[in-house]
Amino acid sequence: MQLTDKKERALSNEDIFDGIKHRDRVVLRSIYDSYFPMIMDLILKNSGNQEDARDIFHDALTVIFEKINKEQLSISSSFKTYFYAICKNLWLMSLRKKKTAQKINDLNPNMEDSIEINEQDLLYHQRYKLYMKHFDKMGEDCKKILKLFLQGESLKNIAVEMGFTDSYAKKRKHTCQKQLILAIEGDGSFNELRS
Amino acid sequence: MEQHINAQDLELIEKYLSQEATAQEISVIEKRLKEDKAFAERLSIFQTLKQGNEMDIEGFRSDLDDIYRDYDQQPQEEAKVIQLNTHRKRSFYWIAAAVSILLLSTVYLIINQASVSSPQDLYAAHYTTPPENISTRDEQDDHLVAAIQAYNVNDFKKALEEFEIFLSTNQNHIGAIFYQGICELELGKTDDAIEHFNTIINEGDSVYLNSAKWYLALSYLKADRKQEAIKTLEDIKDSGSSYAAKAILILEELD
Repeated sequence: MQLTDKKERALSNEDIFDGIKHRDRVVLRSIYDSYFPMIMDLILKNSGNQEDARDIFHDALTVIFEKINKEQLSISSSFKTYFYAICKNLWLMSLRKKKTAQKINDLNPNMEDSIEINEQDLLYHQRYKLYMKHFDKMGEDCKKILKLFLQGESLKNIAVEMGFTDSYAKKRKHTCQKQLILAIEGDGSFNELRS
Repeated sequence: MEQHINAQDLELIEKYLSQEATAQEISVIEKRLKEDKAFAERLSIFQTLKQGNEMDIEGFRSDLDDIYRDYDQQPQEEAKVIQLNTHRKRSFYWIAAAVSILLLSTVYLIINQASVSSPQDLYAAHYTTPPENISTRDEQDDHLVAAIQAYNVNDFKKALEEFEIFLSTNQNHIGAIFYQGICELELGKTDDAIEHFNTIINEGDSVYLNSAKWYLALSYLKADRKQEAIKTLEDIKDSGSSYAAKAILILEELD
């Protein structure tokens, strides 16, 4: 985390983003304490429940976490306005997917007047979630092999770690990769989220 | 119909992602990315998963789940009151049950007076050093950087010395005061920790406010200042912050 200095700077966007980037629990708790009730209110009044509110809240924070780990994030609005807009857009996407609503009963209509949320940021996260859903469903063996592959381990190291010969490790890795691809491509949501 | 996945494509994707592809292979991949949508999607799947692994998105989600669990444990008093009022016929049973529980609790407390948790026990049970990662920006003061580095390796003595030097010229730095308090708590300088957490609370709204209240309550427990601990825990409970559930738990044990 980044230590913040004077009181007036304590809740600056820069400090909040820095706290999210470094997974600072003091900052994350502060975001929770400040904004979770607001987001829960939005979701509960728009056909959702507390679990939906938690998922949207976590997804929105993860969208920001992903974005600030890839690039410098600078916003012209307050963090509160930006965060609310992300949550609202994510919930709208979720409602459209369930085909339950096309509009949201906005509780703070003036708060996001000037906020443009990049849909690609939201889609990137949705795709990641879809991929992980199928990754988590794989057998322990495949998960371990693919995890090592994603960590950039060489085939030799994967073979040693798994107790395989090099040639079998290569074959098994390809089988697991194909299995994952087929599961993802066979998911109904895949086409909607295509980049 | 899904397009066939061949081993050569998978190897090409792997080489590209691990930056081991030759110039010739890169030009083949770039051509395929433009012309072959399935190939592009498959590369994107592994690229996204690799980035997620590097960022440790799952670890971040797990941090959020931990904080949410604290929220979720908060009792929903309001819901219980509504339920009691709308089920008048059952109210007799509720009252009877409540009286029974009260009687049993009283008997239990009389018998087990000696087993009520002491403030110091509760401190030991609930205290954890916050947080796991502190980073520095390039422009920061050398003493602050040294303090954070020492803190990150649990060298609280060195960290405290450096925080004190830094704060001698930066008295209003709330973040440094907060971690100065944590170092003092770790080193058994509880009265100093209490003073510094109070300083943060008196400053009003800040990122550190709720955490300072929590560690102040723990400091009071450690110092065996039970009444002040209760007052601070009541305040945390009423604030509805993510520490509220833990505060309620300790209050119950202190009663």
